[in-house]
Amino acid sequence: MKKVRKFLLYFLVFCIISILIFSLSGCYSVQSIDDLAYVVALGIDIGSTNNLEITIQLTFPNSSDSSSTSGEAAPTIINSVECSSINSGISLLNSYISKEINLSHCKVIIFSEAIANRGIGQEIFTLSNQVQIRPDCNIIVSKSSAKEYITNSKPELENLVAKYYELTPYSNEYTGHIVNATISSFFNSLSANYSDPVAILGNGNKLNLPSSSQNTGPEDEFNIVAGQNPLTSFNRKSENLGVAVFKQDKLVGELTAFESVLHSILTNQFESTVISIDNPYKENSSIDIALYYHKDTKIDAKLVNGAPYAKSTVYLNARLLSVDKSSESLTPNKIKELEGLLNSYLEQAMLDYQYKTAKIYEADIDGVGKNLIKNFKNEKEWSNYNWSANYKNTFFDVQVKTNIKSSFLLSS
Amino acid sequence: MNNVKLSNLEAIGLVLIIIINHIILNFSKSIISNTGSASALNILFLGIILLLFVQFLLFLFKHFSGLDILDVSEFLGGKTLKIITGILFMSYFIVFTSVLLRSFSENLKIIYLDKLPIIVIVLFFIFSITFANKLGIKTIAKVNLLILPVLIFCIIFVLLANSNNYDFHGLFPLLGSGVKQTFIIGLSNMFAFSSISILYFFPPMLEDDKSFRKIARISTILSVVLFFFSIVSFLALFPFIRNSEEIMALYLATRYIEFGRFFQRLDAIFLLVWTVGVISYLCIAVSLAINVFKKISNISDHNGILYCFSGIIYLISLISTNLAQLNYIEINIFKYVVLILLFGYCPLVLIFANIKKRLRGGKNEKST
Repeated sequence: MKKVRKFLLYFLVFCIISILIFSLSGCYSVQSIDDLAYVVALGIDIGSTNNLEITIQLTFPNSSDSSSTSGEAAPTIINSVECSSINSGISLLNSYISKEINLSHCKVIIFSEAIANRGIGQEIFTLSNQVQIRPDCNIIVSKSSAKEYITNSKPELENLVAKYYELTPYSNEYTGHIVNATISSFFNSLSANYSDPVAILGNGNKLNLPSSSQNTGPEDEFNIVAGQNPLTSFNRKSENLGVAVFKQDKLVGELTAFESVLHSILTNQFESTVISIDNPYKENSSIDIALYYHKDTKIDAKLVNGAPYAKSTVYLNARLLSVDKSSESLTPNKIKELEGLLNSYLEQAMLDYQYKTAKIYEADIDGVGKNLIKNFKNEKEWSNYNWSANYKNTFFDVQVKTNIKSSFLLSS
Repeated sequence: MNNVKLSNLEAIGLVLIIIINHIILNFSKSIISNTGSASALNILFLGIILLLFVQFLLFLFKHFSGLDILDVSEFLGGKTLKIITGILFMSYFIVFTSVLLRSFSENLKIIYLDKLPIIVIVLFFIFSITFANKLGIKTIAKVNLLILPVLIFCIIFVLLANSNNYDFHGLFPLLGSGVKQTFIIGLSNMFAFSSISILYFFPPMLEDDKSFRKIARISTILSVVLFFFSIVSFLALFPFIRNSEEIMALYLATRYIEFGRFFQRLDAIFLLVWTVGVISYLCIAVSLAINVFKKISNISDHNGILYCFSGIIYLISLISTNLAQLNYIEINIFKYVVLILLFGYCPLVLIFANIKKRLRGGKNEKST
């Protein structure tokens, strides 16, 4: 009897383990990567017959195989559908595509300028609710349609389009001309009652710029946005340059590449960039300066006579890129003079930029509000103050402390 | 179980696993939704009150060395009060174990096992609880000690790995929704420290009677510290956490972790570790429920009861039809049950037992 009981116990344990192995190891609902269609880019436009037009870019199955010709970009598939919402669009595409659409490798979500002007709050909340969408997925606002942006995004230096989408936003580390705007940062700013979100500004179809009779000065060289990049020879029509500014969930304006650098500095996302300023020692010439992160920017915000006042202290390191014969005379005094010149140039640029965000866009994209909130005792006082409406009344003051280290190989 | 003796480390481990599971199962979120940006301040305030409360409990237990709350109830009101106390605690352990089990299973289903029926996911935990409890509380406590360092490491790792994403402006305004909300209404956040329920049963389970005081103090301080850091981290990481209903905040925090472009998507590892942690927690709760039942019914073999309890937990966990119901139970019912039972009823029993003892002028009660 004891042996039978023991046998029954072992048999029961065996059955339970078998059930658990088969049910929890994936055998229960077999779904391998061969059954999934991985979306690398999701485009959202205003539909012509319905609320939205969803465009997805899928990687071609086995496109990463070594058998594919090296140097040739792996093919992708682009499908679009008119639909009432993102989820219904994906569902409609699912019924067309032979595999199940999966968003876990989606690198970018592109909104057209038109839909961004209308407001993208609902779409952002819907996407943030998706388990498959990763928090580091980038948000791009395209001046052209999202479909056009995706169609013209043909990687030149990478075989995989997913790699291209993943690496492109990282250019902000060495140019600062775009921001690394992810869906999580966008959602956080949208949800918080003390800041407004930003996105990468993109363009899917190179604009034909009217030819200007005047030469662009060195200081205006980077005052351009996506579609205005003065490239003279290029293959890919899509590009990212500048920042799309949102007031809550509505697109209200755009920042140029240079203003994007200033935004990055003020929000402590800045790493390095190159700027050009007029050469004070030589007419019709400019000095190129490489700016580097030194210390976090401090924004001290308080209420002065009921009006918000924000003082930003910026710390940067710099190295001179332009050297010529006159560099021989880069004495400590001259370097100090150059530091003063650079500081006043950046201070003025930052003031112009901050007043532009406050007076024109009324969008607190630099997080002044979150620095001001500590002056309020509780959330009720803060919500009664109505920061969203009061940001435009902010007075700004900027102090830039740049430390020019030296030039590079050729120093004075 | 009455003959089982736990070492100091095992006892502290049992309290900590409950607190860690409360962090995993989003109790921090419930606190934040109650007191907003003042939650960190609220937890510090509650921590001080809790330490004073535990000190008070230790004083009350001083004359009942080696006795748990059931023995004290018997001393005060005879068999009847013992049975009432026992049923209250048994219901508390079983019902809320079931609710938390379902809550975690639902989260697992949302995140990874979307195609698997909830009854299968819950069943997986039920089997684990049943088999672990057949081996007894000593084994559970020892295995718990193995799991605990990994769990603590994972939580600290998640909180530290996100340090780049922290924005401590989320802690402002410091007083959140106001002084009254933070310090008076915020007292209801005390439910997060329901881990002290186990302290009421520790005295007869410890190897050394005298170490009860030490265990109670250390485990309380560690609980407050763990909760404080988790709340500060969540407030600094998620500005939306104050006014949104999201699944496990700790899981969301793991999704933000990345080291360069290579080490990303580490969340699956953490979820695996937390699943083991939740199993350990459920085993402890069921073990305590069985212990209570054994004491009030004087049965010797707990196997039959174990299967019954497992079945009851399985059924109760399947009653809720959606996560909203579970959240409602957790926030609106669990909160007040904990406050009434752990911070109201039990201290009252101990106070009256002490008065009765003083009136009798009797010596220290010892368990037989």
